[in-house]
Amino acid sequence: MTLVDDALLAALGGPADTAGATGPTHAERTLLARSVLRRAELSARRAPGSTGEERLLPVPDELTGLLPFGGLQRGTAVVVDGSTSLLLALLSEASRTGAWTAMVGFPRLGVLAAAEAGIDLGRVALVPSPGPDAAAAVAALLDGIDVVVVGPQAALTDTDRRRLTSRARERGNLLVAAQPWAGAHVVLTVREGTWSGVDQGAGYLRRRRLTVERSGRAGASRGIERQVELPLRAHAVKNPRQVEKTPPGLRLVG
Amino acid sequence: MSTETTATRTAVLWVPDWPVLAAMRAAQVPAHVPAATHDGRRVLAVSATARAQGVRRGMRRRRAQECCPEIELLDADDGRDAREFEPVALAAETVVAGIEVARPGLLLLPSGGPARYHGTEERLAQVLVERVAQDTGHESQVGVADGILAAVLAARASAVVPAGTSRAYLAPRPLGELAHVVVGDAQPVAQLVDLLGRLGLRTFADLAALPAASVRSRFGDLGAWAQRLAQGEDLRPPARRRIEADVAVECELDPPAERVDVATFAARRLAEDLHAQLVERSSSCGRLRITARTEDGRELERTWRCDDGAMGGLTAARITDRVRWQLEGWLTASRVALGQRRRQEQRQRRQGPRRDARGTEPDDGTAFDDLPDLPEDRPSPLVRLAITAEEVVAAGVEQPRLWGASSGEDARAQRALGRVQGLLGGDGVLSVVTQGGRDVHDQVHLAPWGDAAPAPRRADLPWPGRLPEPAPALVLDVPEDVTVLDDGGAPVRVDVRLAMSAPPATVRWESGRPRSARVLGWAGPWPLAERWWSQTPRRRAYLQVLLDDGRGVLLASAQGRWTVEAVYD
Repeated sequence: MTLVDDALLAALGGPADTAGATGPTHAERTLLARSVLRRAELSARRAPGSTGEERLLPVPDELTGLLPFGGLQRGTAVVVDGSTSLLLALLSEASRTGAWTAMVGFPRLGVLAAAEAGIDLGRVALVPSPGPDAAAAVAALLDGIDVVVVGPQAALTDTDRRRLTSRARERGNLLVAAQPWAGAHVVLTVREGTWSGVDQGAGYLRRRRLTVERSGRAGASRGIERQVELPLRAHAVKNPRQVEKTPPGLRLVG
Repeated sequence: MSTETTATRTAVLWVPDWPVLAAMRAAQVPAHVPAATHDGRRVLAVSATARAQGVRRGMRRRRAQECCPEIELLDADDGRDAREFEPVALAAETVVAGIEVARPGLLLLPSGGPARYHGTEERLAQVLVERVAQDTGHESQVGVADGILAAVLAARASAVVPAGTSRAYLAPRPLGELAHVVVGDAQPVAQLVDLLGRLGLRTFADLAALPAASVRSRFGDLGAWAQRLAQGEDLRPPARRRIEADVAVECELDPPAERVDVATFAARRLAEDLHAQLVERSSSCGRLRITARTEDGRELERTWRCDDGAMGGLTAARITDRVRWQLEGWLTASRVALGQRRRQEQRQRRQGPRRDARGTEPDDGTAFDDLPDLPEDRPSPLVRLAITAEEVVAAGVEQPRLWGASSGEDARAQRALGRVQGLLGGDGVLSVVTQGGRDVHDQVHLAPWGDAAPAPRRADLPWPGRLPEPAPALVLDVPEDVTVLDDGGAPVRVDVRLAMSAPPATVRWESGRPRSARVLGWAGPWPLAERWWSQTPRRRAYLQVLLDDGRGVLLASAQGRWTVEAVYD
């Protein structure tokens, strides 16, 4: 915060500056104040110009490039198609910082993998087989749970999905689906992926490299393609910018 | 401090042998079968029939079966005891408002007011026992006395101790009976009683006669606690369980409201009234239920959540808005639905018997048969409107922060999960912890949400043979049968010395949709032999295989059969 304070003081002019005639003009000061506000918003992980309901749930630094505002926007529906590991990695940071997570209709979800990805299991509830009441169960969960993951076993119609999306928007929760979802805001599709580390019997499955394509609407309409390496923790010590610069597919990891 | 000033007149409702009764009910063991609960080491609670055959608390399993060969030994489970006790508490609550569940099987309730209401304390006891037996089928005993210890002991004897005589009632009794009021760990109390016994203090009278300061200096807090109980005093007044009542306002609409603005006018008055009541109680509510009755006798009901961002604070104007939107929906929808239904019925009953004239009060199932012919565009007017504030909580529990989540979100999440449990059943929502184990299934412990069942295996022990990280993200609940073939098309086998007959080249799914995938890489096999000393040993070899679609699968081989256990995707 000291950075903000110094910049603000400089921008608005301290008591000493006001006497001098060569101080910044009104327009310059406004511009500078705006940029400081923007920096403060970014450091607090809020989208510029957002109101309280459009808060961002944080994601790990390696995955910020995948999402339109660098985080998971509350009140939206996100589809992660093709990789459960990527889904768990996306939710790990939000869960670690206190968000509640419920997994509905996802009996095959590897809980151990969720724990390894960094999801806090104390704030996770599983609803493995909601049966015919899936829509009612998801709607009730949206009343109090920040992140609701809907798996393939939840029997929902497209009408249900649209209704649940609008409910999530109203309540400011995040809906994450592991399969296509009508009216999703961000769709992350895994185009191709591979594992490294098996070494013809000598090693084991160590690292997953995924090519993820983003599509969607409202800020995510510009499709992009990114390379992601999972699990993320090996990156934690490295400089994230360096990782971006290295061309994918040439580095030996692990 | 004298006894009269600190002891509350307390009634205690005690259901004997509650853990066994709860376990028997949950396991559907008939009442005549002798049963006991057992924690793996010793018998914890014994049913009356088993006790008659000589089974006692603290016996080992073998000794209990020696006394009574047909005994049913059930697992101890605190969560189940508490869950099963809830109906009993509810039954008692219909007689007395404000009860405290000391532990499953033991209820404390104030006896002053209810006894005056029912006439005498004996009458109150009788009503309580009858109601519990009638509603839940459990036999219970009630005792009334000053102070908690005397009341608990009186309940065991099904007695009423007259006011002011609790100390005399307790005096000749042995100190060992302190164990009946212990809620938590009984071990320190048993040690204290043993120590006092060796010092020659055997009855409550002996302990009560000692100077309080000396008891505290020699025996600490526990000694002081025991002495206060022995003197027939209360440690604290019973903390009564109070259910925060819903706040409801309603009004009759006369003449019936046909138009939205007329109904909204009434709704505004109701909303202001409700808001004033909530402010007066300094509370806030989680849900608003709007109920309306139409002239043809239908009840319309809708619940809105209002605890945070959805409404942005609860004001009379916002409540009115909610009600107005709802009324618009109803008055329009009911008109459309009514018109359609009428048209249909007219078509069906063109030849039917003549309908009654209007004025007959329509009721339940046959309501719409008696309706007169009305023009289709006429809405069904509302005659009654009510707004109820539900989930009333003290204001300030949910305090939003400047940036980040509101402070009440844990409570909100718990409430939401509770509601889903109500929808799907207790087992529908699971909590999850990791535990020790080698298999991907074994390392996860699932329990119904709200059950404090600890994980049975410790995770901090070394579990040699565990699969390496990262763990698979998809774990199949039912393993899929596959065949693993080598380059020549012959099945791959793992022999006893863990040598594979040939590197795997193809994985073929046999069941369901037949398909096959090429193998790009593989790792393993890793042996896993578990519980080889037991009746059900498990021996298998794990193999990680990288398939040509880019996903990895975990294969397990047991007795020449390959299965897919999990998918790394």
